[in-house]
Amino acid sequence: MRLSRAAFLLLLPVLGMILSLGTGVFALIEQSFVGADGLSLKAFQAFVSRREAMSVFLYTHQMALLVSAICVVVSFPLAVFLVRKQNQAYVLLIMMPLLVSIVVRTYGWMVILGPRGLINAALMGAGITTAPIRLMFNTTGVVIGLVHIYIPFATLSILTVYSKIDRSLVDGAAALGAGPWRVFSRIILPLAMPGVIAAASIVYLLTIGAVVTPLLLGSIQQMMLGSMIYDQMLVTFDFPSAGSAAIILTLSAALAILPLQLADRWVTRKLPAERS
Amino acid sequence: MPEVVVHAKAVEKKYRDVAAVRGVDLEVFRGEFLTLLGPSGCGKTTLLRMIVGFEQPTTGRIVIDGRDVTEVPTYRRPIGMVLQNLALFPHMNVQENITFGLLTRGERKSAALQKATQMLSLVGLAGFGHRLIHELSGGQKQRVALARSIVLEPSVLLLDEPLGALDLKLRQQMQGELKRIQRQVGITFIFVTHDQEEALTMSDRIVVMNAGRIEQIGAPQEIYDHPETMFVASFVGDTNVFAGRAIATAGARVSVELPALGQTVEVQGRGITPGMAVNVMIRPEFVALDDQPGAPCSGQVTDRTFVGADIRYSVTVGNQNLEARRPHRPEDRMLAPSATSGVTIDWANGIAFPSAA
Repeated sequence: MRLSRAAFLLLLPVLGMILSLGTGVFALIEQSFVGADGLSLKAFQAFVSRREAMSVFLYTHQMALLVSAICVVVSFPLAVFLVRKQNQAYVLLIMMPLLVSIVVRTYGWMVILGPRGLINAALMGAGITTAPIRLMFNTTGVVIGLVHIYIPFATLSILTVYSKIDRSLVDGAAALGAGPWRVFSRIILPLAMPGVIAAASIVYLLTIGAVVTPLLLGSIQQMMLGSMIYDQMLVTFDFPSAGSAAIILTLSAALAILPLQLADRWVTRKLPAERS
Repeated sequence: MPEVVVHAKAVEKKYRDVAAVRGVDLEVFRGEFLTLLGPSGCGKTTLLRMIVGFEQPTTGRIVIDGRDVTEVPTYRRPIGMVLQNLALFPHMNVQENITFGLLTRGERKSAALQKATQMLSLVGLAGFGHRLIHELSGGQKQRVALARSIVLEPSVLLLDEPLGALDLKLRQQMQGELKRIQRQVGITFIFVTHDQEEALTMSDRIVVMNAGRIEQIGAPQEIYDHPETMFVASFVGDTNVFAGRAIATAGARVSVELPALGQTVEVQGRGITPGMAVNVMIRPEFVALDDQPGAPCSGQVTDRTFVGADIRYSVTVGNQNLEARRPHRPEDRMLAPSATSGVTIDWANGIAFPSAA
């Protein structure tokens, strides 16, 4: 398509955004590569050689794996339910939490999960436990908080793909003798797979970049990359370390998403190319 | 007595208070090509879906191969189905679509592949096993849909207007193919269509349905030549209708007075008593137009349509509009619109129906 010259004026706001955002990112990259003695990889070497930094790195990816797995498993039936209901009001219900700030929602979880929170009060009140169970300031708390925040994203990406699956394929498969389980495993799931992969990718990326929830619901001993970078920037003002950690986070994110992208190509290899 | 494969016993289907199928009794015989024919909303697809098991009858039973399958889910019924949109699995290639049912049934992969290859050559798609579904043409998709059902050797194969999406030429070609394949494999076909020409050309027997009921069951020629109801007469083939009054009856023949023509004619008719108001139907091919004098009545040509093999004329006789059809021959002189012509009607092929019914 040929655009008139005036149309390029519409790109100006984007250019402005790239410039302002880019400057910040560029500054960060520069600070992590340029030390007191010129260009060096010192900050990166420091990251890799620090045991707690590496443990934060691994823990972050483990969390991302766990949270995206849980999100997919919870969101799939939810998406199926929403499509079957054919009711936009339910979809709105799923979207509603997005209107409330993450900080507020995370504080909400503290009220529920705390030692004297809703759950522990109920458990102790019912006499099931005598002492409160630790539900926050540990991995459990972070997982609960993150899954709750990311479920709308995962649900919507699965829903988009699932709702486009031709219902008559189910009838066709049944007429060929396929029972419900085989219809699901051989027809529905493979066709919904692009949505599942998209959901997993989004949640994975969001989790490794999470800051607020790990900060509020996680333990101080076991930080995640996002909250560690936050600490380095705003508590210890160690910009080179923060910068190198951010770069490592970004690169490892891209690397982690790669297999998912390949999987997406594999599951859609026989489908017609998306009309664009 | 031919063996019954499918028996629908007093089947009714109501959606809330609206009855889609009202008390249908139908026996389908082994190896026949049976067509359910009717306008949209006549209940033919609902009946089909109940035989397949996608719908549950409100009352009545469905029996297949002597077994009552009314409560049996689709995937346990000995049926196959070609859906209207074919429902080929887009994430599988042709071969995988065809072996899907066999593998579901637990057959070995090597045996399934061998059968798939045989099937492909039966439907004229030899060597297409590795093609992807979206690479196929409409006609090829039909063949794959057919192959993946036939390979399972179902007791009965149900087809829900599968040719609807094809253009005329391809549709006619597929009609022939379908008939050939059906004869070759000997599987019972139940075919649903609203296209009377399709029904006439392909079927061993036709079931004409209207408003949830069966109007008539018979061989194509029987349905066309001897319709039992006015609905069948007007739905299958073109027809002219005259309102009249029966004067006298003699066996299967009725004398009818036709005020529109000012004539009394003798036509076929059953269950008619003298004095009854009747409708007389006569097919356009029994209306002859000739300009020589001596014809019993004369009419004015209002319209002429040239369709190749035939010429269709609209003629006004008195205040009655008539359709006439005659084979076209190049040496014939065509009648011009607004020309006056003698009209001779072969009333022996007319049929009278009570007009109330």
